[in-house]
Amino acid sequence: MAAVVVNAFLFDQTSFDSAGLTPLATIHHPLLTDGVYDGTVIRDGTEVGGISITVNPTSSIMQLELDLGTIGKHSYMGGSRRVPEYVVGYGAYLTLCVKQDSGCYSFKLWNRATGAIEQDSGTLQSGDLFAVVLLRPGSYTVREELSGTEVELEVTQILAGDTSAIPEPLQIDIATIGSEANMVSSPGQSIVFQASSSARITIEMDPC
Amino acid sequence: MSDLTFKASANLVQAIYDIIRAHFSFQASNTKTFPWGSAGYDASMHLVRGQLSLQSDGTLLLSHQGIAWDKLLFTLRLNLPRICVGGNCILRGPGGKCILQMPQYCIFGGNPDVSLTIDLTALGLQSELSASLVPYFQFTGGSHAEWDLLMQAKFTDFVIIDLGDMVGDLIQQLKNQIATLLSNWPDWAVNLVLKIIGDLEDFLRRILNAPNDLKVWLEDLLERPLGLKDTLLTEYFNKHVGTKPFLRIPDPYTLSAPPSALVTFSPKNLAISVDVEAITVTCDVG
Repeated sequence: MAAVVVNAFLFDQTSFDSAGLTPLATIHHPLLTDGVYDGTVIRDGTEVGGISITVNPTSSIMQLELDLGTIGKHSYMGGSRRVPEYVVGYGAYLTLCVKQDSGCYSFKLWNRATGAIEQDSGTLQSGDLFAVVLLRPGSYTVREELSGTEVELEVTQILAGDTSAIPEPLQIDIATIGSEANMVSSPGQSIVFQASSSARITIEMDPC
Repeated sequence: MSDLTFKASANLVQAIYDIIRAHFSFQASNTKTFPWGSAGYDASMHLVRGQLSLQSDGTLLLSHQGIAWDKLLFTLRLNLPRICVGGNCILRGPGGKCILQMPQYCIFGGNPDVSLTIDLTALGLQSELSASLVPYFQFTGGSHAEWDLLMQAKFTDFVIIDLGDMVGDLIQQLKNQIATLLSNWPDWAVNLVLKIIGDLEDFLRRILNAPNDLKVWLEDLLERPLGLKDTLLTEYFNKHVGTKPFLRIPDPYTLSAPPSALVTFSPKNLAISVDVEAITVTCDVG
């Protein structure tokens, strides 16, 4: 019988931060300018890997999912640095995630030609999405750190024998945080925070 | 008119069959691999009852030949598919087309598999054999030459009448195994995984790539791909019943004629006829 490995990180996760990605938290950033970009993966404050992305209108790839944990593990294998290269289409989303790792990840992306920062995951930009999947039932506080606004989020209990489908994603405009009633989601449901200006979202499970 | 006639009533034929049947025992096991894992059985049984009736068409009909399973363990080893959260569409474009998907986070790594063993005897499995038998004579030469009246199976069948709640038992075991995989985690984690999996019978059907009626599929798997049916029918009808004579006539055959004379002859022109009352064997004295 094959060895069974449970991805414990998924069940342990009770706090999330758009500025420090951990399992179940993702940032989706649209690449709206053609060009070549260089990216750096940072784990717990240390650079652990790099990538290169070319935005080319002829490419049909419209979503590039980067598991930062995997890039970090493989970038320096064998003593030499490996920089994976990707080509995506104009307007493609760059999806940053961490599938299975205890570290806290961030990511920076520069335009190779201009040196301008295209993305710094420490701060969400207008057009970015921060999406999380909360698994553990309980009460959470969702806070937009730049404005200090917050809202309570209740992740409901799962009753034994409940086999109903996981609901569609919950869409939240970050600008409305603090002015809306408390939110309710189901375990396993995606919660998508849409940024219309600079933002940083933290989600913390309330102490019992 | 034939010189000599042997006649066995239906009751006597049944009594002979009962003796033949009582000396049969069966033990077999088999395992086969499939794209979804493997399946196997480990069985032993004996036979009980069984009605052998004489037919007007010259055959014998064995019906309701009950099988008493001393052991019938049925094992399924399943490669669990990935059980994941996320992977859903989080942003749709014009016309509802998905333009952005959430990454998928999988709960189990290492392609775990689960092994489910069902004790079908405990579930009240009921099954029986039936057959149509045709009598014939077989001559064996040598120093002890003889004519054996044997039965050749023309049609045989193995029928599972009731598997018990096999599907229910499998589902409960699957649930327990998943709970065991997550034994270090609280109930909410187990409930979440079971919620992601959804209906366990559908889940099992998807793993096994089985049609709607899972019970029929499992029954068929046991009988055919695993070969229990063919093995059992071959062992009983070909190797056991088919080799045990209902009547044996030595050649030469000796009759004693009182007071002390013996008449010895070689049977010729042996013929068999069957009606609902008796099996009749006739022969001429050579």
